[in-house]
Amino acid sequence: MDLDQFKNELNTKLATDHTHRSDADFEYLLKQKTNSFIDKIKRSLWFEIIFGFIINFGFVYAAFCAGLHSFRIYFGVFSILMYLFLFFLIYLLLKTNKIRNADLPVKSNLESYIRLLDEFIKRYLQLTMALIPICIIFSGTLGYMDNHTNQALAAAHASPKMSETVQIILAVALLIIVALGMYGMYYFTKWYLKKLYGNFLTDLKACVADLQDT
Amino acid sequence: MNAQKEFVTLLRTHQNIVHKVCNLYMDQYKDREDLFQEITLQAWKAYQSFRGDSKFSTWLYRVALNTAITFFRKEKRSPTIYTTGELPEAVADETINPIEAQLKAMYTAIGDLSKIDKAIVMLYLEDYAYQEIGEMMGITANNVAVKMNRIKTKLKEQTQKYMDTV
Repeated sequence: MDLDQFKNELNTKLATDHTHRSDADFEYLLKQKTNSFIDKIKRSLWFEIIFGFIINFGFVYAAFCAGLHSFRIYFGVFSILMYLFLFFLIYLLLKTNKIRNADLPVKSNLESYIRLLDEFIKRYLQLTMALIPICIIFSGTLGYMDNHTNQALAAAHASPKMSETVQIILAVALLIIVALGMYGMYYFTKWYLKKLYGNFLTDLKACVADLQDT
Repeated sequence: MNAQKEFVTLLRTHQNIVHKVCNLYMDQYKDREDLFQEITLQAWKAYQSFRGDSKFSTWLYRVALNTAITFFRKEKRSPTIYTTGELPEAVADETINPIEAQLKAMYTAIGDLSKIDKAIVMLYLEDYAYQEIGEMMGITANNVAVKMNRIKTKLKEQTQKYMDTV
């Protein structure tokens, strides 16, 4: 039993097992929304850009109006970093908008999707991971500086006085918690990105591997 | 005639292509409907750049296959109710004739192929030359020939296995 033996039957079967659609049906379909993964990425990027700008207004406000000097510096620097992040998201959105590949050969189409998804996942992880240590180290440094310049904070911190050993234990404990938090955050972000696009990316890569010369 | 009307007319005339791709790639009715909609929309988006260098049917095959292979499902559906292996007009086992049983077995075996192999089989069933299939898939005609031989052997084995279990 061979594929050629059933060529006609299979072709007829595949072609006829459906409901015929009219012009009006197609015109209706053209008014619907697409659900491709490119559109999913676009929606996600739009949401993050809008949400990011709204949040950043809060940071800019805090940078100008916060009572403590360290808060103003912290939110000022953070809002600049956020703007850089937002520019990167806009760059990704423009890049995604340029993809109109549906009529390319299958292999080229798959490769361009893989490149886009790979870059999206890689840069997203890099930027998210870069922001965490910056936040923690910067806030710690500024907090320490404020402790010495702000009398109220210095007084609260000085009394009751802790022994040097307790201070070291607390500092080490804090470092461990921060390290564990960052470690956990790294794996959480990786898991989240894999959950969103990872399996799909693996699927696309398997298709390209299937197309390689045999 | 404006571009949308022209596109709709062409698509209506060639809708068999879209139905074939949907039937081959999706097991469930709802998924097939979603894919049909997605192919229609992607084809419309791509139609602005269609210059007529190739036949509309060849161009539509490329768009439909690209969309089906990279289709991102909205959500997981409930377990399969009706698979590509089940021909809708399949009759009860006691009345099924050997030819129908073989056809059903072949249909099931095609349904179990990888996304890429399904695309190649579909174009082969349409009588496209290896050179044309290669151009649509982005691989050499030689590679298509090698793949087609492997697919045929695989289908033969799978169909035989299926027939043995019936």
